[in-house]
Amino acid sequence: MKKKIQPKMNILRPLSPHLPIYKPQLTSTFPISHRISGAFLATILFFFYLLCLKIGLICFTYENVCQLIFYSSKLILISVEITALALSYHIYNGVRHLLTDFSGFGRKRWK
Amino acid sequence: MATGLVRRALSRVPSVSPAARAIIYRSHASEAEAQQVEPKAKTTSTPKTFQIYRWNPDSTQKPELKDYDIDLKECGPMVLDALIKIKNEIDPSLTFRRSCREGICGSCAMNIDGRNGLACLTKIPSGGPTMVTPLPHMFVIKDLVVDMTNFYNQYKSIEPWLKRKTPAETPAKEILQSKDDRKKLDGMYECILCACCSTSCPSYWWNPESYLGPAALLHANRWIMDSRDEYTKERLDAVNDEFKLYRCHTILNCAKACPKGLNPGMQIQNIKKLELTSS
Repeated sequence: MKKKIQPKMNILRPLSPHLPIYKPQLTSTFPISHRISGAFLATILFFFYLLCLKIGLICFTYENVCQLIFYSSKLILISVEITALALSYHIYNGVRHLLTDFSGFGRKRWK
Repeated sequence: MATGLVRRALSRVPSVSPAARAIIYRSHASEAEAQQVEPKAKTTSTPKTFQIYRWNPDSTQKPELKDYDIDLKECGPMVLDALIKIKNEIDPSLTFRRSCREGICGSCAMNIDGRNGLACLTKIPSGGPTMVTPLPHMFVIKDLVVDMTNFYNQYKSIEPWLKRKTPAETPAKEILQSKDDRKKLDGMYECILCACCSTSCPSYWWNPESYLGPAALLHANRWIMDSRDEYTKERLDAVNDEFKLYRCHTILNCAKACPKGLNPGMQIQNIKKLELTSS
């Protein structure tokens, strides 16, 4: 009995385009920006914790530290504004998410 | 001026027989017609460019977007009409799935201008070039045809059939269901398994093998909510998995993409709610 040898598929199939071509919609931009703002706020929080609680006032005796704070002082205003934007967006979207998730509990639809 | 002379000549001769007068009138009419200008002299054509994803497994070329120009005046209104016209007249090698051409079979699901939908139900958008690509993040077999085996296996894995522990009340007769219980299935039984929703979900893109996707979960909810099915607890436990159900982060792209107007996101939230309250 002769066995038929199946020809091997040498060519790997490509994946159809997804992120580059899919039109960004309201339903998709809300969750991803929620995640990005959340990650941003987490890093800000982490650096503030390191800066304020861990380092201690001894750091100001170092010249480099004083120079760094002086030269980056202009950036602090804009980064505070961005942090405020991220925080407000994250809170608003979080509340909206909670409300929409639990909006179905009032109705008697489930078994 | 000539017509006026002919008319006056006819009226001055009353003895002309009616048949003869009719012949004269008829020739007079055709002369007037010949002097009319053809209104169809300049036909305006509405050109439209389609950028269609092409890939041939038999050639070593990379996938590309090819441009096709068609005249919208000689084409039906839907994208499927345009694809068929391109296949008939310009490029017969264009490959795509199609069957019913009325939005009930789900074969022609593809991505048109960045949004998933059925080609037979999507009107050709006016304006610049339209991009037609296959369903996102699926393996391409050829041109616009994708490999749906993973999608169908996930549908099979939720066991989409009626399962009972006790036999029917009246044997060999239908299991009865009240109208309210039947209403619970509305919004789920209409699914045609076109895969527009699952392939629009970014969570399904990043975890196609472990996350079941909105379509399979919509059908899972359809069987969970069916009052005639007695394996509700087992169905809920089968889906109650970190990956199978909880990869859904309520992005809700699925509800936007569904060509039948269903809301798989809502059904998934129903399953999550039942998981929370029942077990």
